[in-house]
Amino acid sequence: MTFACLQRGEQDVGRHHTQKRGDHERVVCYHHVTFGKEGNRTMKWYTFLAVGLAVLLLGMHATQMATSATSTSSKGPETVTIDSLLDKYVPVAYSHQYHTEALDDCARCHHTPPGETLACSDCHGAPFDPEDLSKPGLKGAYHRQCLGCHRDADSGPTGCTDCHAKRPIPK
Amino acid sequence: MGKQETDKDETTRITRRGFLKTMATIGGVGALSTANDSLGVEKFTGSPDRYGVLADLSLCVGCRSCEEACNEINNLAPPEAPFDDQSVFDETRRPEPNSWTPVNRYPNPKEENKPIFVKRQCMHCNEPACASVCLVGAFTKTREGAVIYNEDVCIGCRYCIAACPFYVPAYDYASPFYPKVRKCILCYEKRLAKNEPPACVEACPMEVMTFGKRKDLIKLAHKKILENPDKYVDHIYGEHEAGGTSWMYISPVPFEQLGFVTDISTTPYPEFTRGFLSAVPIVLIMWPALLIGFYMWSTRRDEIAEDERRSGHE
Repeated sequence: MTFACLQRGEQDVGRHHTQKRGDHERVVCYHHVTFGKEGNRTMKWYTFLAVGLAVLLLGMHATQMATSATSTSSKGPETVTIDSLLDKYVPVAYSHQYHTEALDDCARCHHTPPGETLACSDCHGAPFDPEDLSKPGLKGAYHRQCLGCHRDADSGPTGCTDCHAKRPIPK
Repeated sequence: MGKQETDKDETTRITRRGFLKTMATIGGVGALSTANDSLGVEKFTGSPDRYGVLADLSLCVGCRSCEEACNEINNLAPPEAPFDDQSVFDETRRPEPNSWTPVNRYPNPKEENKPIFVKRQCMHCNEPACASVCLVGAFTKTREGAVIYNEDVCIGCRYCIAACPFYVPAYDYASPFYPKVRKCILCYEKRLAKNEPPACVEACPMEVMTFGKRKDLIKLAHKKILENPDKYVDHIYGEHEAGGTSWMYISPVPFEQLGFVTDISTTPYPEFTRGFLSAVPIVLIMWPALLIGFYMWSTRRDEIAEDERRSGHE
């Protein structure tokens, strides 16, 4: 892999990362974010701006949290609408809020990576990835998560149409 | 008299030598052809990149989406009961001409509230017995792993039904004029040939079935069993059964309790008849030659005896 920055004769400090998303591979170069001798000079005003913005945003967020007690923005969305297979079923309105309150543990569902709360679709996409056959696709992940828990706990809907109301056949 | 005897001896000697020569040649050719046949067949390991499906029976919840998807893609006749009717589980079903992949329910001794559902269909053997017995060569094991058949050449002998170790092919008895043998073809033309998973696999909401290269699926199955020794029985059904199959299962309950045929050896079924069938051409050549030889020998002996009798009289 060649990087433009390296071709310019700059030293490789090992700050190149490849990000894979679908078929596309993106090379991210963190070369110019280094806080080296040159970095200090060029980055100073950026740093101030970034820190200032962060403080401002955090302050706004804290004020909002304090004023609205019912907000669950830190706990994710209230409802997640699952709307695939629309030809057969009406969309599922999954109550995210109910589950966050009932389980009180994000990691029960947002299982990986530890300490982070990623959306299901950040990792689970199309099924049967030859690179990792053990990782279920998004559909499998949803169903295994919901049904697995509901069956283990013997509570919550487990039948197909308990969650997916059948779409009425058009006449 | 003396000249006559010499002639007689020469004739006899030449006949014997010729006979032995012929026999040796036939024997040699026969042995050679047998050696070639067995060499070719024993070295057959199938296409290394062929696909397979691994079904994890701990995941299936018996929704019958797979049955519905199979029915749709293959344009099969609609079933008597709709696909969301769970009462079909009250009895054990086998593959039928219009239901290529029935799901059956079995009790789970480990967890009573979680019965085990088993989806049945053609196992797509590495060396299919149905293909080896078919008189007209209607069956083909494709490079992609599916066992498909050409129903237009089928003469309805139903040997494939008798030969299948998994009791899969079904006969269209209800069709009086043009009955056909029917079984799962792994959605060969519509999906597998385009490197897409079969319709049942894609329809499954729980992703009970994983689609991929067979060799990768075996690794995945071993990994799952190794990482969850308490959850799964230490056996991959289909890895070695009847010489290995493209469809494989792992299960939390022993397979004999789930209606699986477990008294199958690891020998590919065509192997059982290979010895006999490869001997047929040799026997067909050797046997007439041997009989002709015996006939010639005994005729010649009688001629000699007759000559001697005549010369004795003289």
